[in-house]
Amino acid sequence: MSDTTVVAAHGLTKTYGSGPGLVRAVDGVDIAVGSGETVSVMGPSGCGKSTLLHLLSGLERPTGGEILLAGERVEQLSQARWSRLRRHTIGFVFQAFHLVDELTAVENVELPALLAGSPPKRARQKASALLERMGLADRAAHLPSQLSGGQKQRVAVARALVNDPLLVLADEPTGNLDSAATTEVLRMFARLRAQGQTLVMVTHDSRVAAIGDRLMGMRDGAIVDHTHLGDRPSTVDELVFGDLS
Amino acid sequence: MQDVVLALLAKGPSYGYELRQRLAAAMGPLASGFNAGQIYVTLSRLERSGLVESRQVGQELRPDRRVYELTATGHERVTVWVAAVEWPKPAPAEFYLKLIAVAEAGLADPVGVADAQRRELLRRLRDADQALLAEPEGSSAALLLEGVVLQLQAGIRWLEICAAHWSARGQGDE
Amino acid sequence: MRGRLRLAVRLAARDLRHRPGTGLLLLLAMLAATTAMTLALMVRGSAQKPWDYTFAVTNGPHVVVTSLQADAATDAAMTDLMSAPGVVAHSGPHPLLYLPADSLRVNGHGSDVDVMAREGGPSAVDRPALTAGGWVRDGGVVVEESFAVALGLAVGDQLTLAGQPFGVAGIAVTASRQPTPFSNPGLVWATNADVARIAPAAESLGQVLMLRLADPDRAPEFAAANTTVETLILEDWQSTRDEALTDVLFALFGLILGAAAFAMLAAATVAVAVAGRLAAQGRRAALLKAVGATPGFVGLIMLTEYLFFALAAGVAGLVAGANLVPPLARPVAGVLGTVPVPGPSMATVALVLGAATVLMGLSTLVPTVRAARASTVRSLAGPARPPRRSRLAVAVSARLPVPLLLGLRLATRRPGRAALSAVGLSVTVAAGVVALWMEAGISGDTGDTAFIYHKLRVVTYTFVAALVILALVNAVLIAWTTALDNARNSALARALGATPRQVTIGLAFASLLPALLAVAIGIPAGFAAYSVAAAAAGGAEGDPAPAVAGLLALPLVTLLMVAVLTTIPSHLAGRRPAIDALRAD
Repeated sequence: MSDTTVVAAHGLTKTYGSGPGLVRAVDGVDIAVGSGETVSVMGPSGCGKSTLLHLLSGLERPTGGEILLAGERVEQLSQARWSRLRRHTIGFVFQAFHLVDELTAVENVELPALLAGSPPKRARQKASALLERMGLADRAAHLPSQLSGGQKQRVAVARALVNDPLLVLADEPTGNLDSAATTEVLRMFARLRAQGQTLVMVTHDSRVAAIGDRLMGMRDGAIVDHTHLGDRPSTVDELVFGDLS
Repeated sequence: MQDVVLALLAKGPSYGYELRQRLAAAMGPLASGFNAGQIYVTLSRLERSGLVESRQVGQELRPDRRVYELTATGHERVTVWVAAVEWPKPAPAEFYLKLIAVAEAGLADPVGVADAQRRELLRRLRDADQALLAEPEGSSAALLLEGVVLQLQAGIRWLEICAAHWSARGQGDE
Repeated sequence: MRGRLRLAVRLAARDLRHRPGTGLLLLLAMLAATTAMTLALMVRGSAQKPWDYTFAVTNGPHVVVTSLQADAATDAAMTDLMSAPGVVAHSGPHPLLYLPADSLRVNGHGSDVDVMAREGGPSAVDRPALTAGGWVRDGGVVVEESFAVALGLAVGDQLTLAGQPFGVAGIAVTASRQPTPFSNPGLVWATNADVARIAPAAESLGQVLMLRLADPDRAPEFAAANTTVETLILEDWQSTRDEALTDVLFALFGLILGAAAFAMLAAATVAVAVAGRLAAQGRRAALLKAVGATPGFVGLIMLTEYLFFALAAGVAGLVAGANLVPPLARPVAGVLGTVPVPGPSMATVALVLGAATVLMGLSTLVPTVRAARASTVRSLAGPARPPRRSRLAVAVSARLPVPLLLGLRLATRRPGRAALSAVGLSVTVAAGVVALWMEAGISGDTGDTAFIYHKLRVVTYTFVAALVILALVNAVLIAWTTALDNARNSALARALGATPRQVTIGLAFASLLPALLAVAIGIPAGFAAYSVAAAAAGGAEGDPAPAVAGLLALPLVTLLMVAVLTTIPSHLAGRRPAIDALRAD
């Protein structure tokens, strides 16, 4: 863990509706993520964890509280400034992938770079390199309809990384995947962690949550517990045959 | 362990050391953590139960130089074992009793106990998952670890439900 | 079967209520076409009725023979004609004087005039019907009604003929010549004595013979066959009638052109609107099929909906057209009777409803069949057809600045729909060019004949107004289908780093591309169409070119409308969080 805080929020609140129909999607959440940390937010569906991620990335505007991104107050920024900020600060991975259907994998990955004003050649190089790192070099010219779920999610993650973001936010990254694809994606996130990427993941799958250095439990819009998951390397035998005699 | 040895003898009689070798070969990379010397203790127990008989070969007196063979009862036992669908009973019963006891005796808040257990399982899950990701795909170790991971996940889920249940119960009581 | 039919109608009605916006646009587009069609079919018949009535009441002549000079040969020829084969009755010959310009003076105005001597009781052929006053007497002339209106004359007024004073004894109507605007000079009847008095001032002296034939329909042939002498002019009644209806015929020309243009426009607009509706309806069709409806039944529902549109547009067009007939069919003065209360004939009703149904059917056939036969599972899972991938567009756009990058990629996703919108808009622009050109031609003509084009001008102005409305409809449709299709991609672009302004400009660009294409094709197409039509009608060399300002304004206004209609909703959507459009997935 490092001493630079990448993103922090204090008293973050998001409400919908009013009066008797008032819904508190996010209720006074405090969170701080340091550089290189992986933080997981876990909770049942409807607990507000997706909304929390949307608030941290500016995709939704909070009703109250403050958000600091790389030290700067951002909760009141206009949509236009958020868009510009997102280019180099935040990579977002959606549960539904949200790849553009008519673009190939490499064209999908280079898109944020092009939107940020990168020269086309450089964007293409970066995108190809990322796909290679993901082990998808042979799929670079394929359309999303020709990719499996796990491959699509890995393309989505590559897209989130193309502008070297400070922070990667992943919303239920394995929500739409079967267990084999889940393992693929988990392997990839583990590698990202090892490379020092700051990650915030939101999930209801305990396996995904357990990747994090810290785990925050969320229920009804509020953080209800906080677990530090240290590293305790064990051998296979200890884990498997621990009680076998 | 006893049934495993019986099964290995089902094909035919085998030397003690042969049995050990065969078992180690079948277990592959997992064999290293496995105490092979145990096999001889198991064999003598099986002899005492009448499921296996052994004879001495030549002048050797060591157990690994003896030849072991299944008895008729032993064969029966193997057949039954292969067809059986036994499965280790999952943890719930024991832990459930723990929560009841803790609540009844007022020793601690059952919700806190469930949460603590859940956190421990999460840590174990993390360790198991990391080990799993380090293994090559399709190896027997990976297969075993996947089983461990899934069981831990199931346990974590159930503990969440426990915590919610006891939390609601606690509120109802007030 | 009846139960299923009622269900189909109910479902169709429900869907119409649910999506009234596009339905209204559809209806407007079809309405222009059906109204123009109704007018085109009805206007001639209605305009003709007063003339036919006048002809019947005045026992009009089937052939009018006019001699330009009084010599022996001419007179003999005219006498022969009185007993030519096929002639059943005749009137005259009546003396006819032509007095040159300024010979008739009244209220400070001067005019040339034809004076015919008609005395005595009703003749066998051509009995001018008095609409005011009495017949000729010495010192009192009867003025033909349209001429009287042109000069502002009433019974009892005084006028001067060849320097001699006369009073207006009466005003009458005849079918022996075209009403005054079309006929030059005007006609005045007088007694034999009065005609003799002013004869010295005449420029030419001749005679007029009126004939009725056994076979009126063959009057043109009779006239052609019997034109033996140069100095005799034979005019058949059909030509006279057609010339009397000249202004209506001009208007009819415009109406036919307009109806054709509106029909094309309606087809293109309907196709775009239907594609948009089906994109939203495709899921419903799949749901119905999943719960047991056959593809045939699903098709039946859709066809019921569109049949309703066709019939509604047809009926509305018939009503609107019929009510617009009187002002267009109203003849200039000089015929009896008013334009009858219009009621479209059965043939007209059948034609208009049939055309509306065919138009609707052709435009909706392909997408409806496709939607009805589409695989249920695939329809439930996603949009009816995946967007097209254009490698060229993707590659080229990568080198462009961000707004153009977005715009080009968005524009090429649905080339079929973009093409349809462009077609609709280009027909509008072409029709606008034709209208502008006609307007220029009409305005160029001043003076006596300007009135001929009055009705045509009315038609042209009305069409230009309708075209502007339809261009708006088209622009709305283009903007709507563009926004609908691209809501998700726009939101995604914003989530990935494009600012709302870049997205808005991109969307405007995506809409403008087909619009630009439409204008680029429409203007030359309009020129070509007008040239072809004018050549068919007899040459357009003398027609002045359309006003340059108007020509430039047309495409600029069109493009501006499209840009504005796309930018506003996109700008508003840009203020809202991007996640809303993404969540809809």
